[in-house]
Amino acid sequence: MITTLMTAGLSCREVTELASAFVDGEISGTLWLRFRVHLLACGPCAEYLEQIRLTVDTLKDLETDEGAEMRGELMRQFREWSEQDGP
Amino acid sequence: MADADATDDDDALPPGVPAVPGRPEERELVARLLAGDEATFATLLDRYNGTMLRVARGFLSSRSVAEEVVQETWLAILEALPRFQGRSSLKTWMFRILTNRAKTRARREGRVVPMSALGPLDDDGEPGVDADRFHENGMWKAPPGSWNTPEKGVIDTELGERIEQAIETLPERQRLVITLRDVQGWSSAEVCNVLEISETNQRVLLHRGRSKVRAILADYLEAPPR
Repeated sequence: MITTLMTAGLSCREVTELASAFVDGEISGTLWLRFRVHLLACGPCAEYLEQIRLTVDTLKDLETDEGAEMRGELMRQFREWSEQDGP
Repeated sequence: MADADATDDDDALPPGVPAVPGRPEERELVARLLAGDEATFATLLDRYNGTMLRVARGFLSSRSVAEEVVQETWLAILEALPRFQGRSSLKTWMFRILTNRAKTRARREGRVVPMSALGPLDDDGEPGVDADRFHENGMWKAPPGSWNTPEKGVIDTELGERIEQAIETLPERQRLVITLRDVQGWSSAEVCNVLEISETNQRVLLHRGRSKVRAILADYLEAPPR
């Protein structure tokens, strides 16, 4: 049975609320330690944290082609601008 | 009309003070643009146009209006280039021009989106995980199932689509912060600067956005129960 002592006084709910900050390295000091101890004792929270990490990694790898159809017009606009007489 | 871009407040030096040199690679880029180098402009478009469109969508009601504002912004950027002093990064400077224009246009259309406040309209205030998945004492009642994960670095088309869809379902500001931070890799300072939100707001929006995307991915990736 997982005791409060083992999970360092942090509830799983608290851990899920802090997960994003933890992944970004924004948690430090004793809170960081308690967070780590909780993860050691709590498989589901370790799983949750890993899933947040994976989510962030997957977002990083996303490639979007948004606005590609604007390119022609934007290049035309650039040419027009650069062909103007300077100030 | 150039004065409406108001970048001079952020960037210009008082008269008589010599220009502070910007980063060398940015000065090079600006010089090439002023010389009319199309390849350089094309690179800039590849890098930023998509993101500009997403940011504009965060302020404006329709895709076509957002496209208009982005197109105007590119021209405004080109015309303001001779005044770029390099005190902020080129990216921040360009996106400030964009957000100023987007806000002006939004006001003209009677639509004000207060980026600086966590308003009820597009921030639901929900925790990252439903409260009913925990016991009273905060320990898991319905823990997360394990995932069938793709190999690292491999995103199959369907997963990519699911993530895109997931991002689309996010409330506006969460969508913007996730896009800039996680998809585009902007720093937290850059995001706060351009969106004019506090570090705390930004952190909350990022947390909520990531939690929601995780939940949507879970539907797709969770291993079937044995």
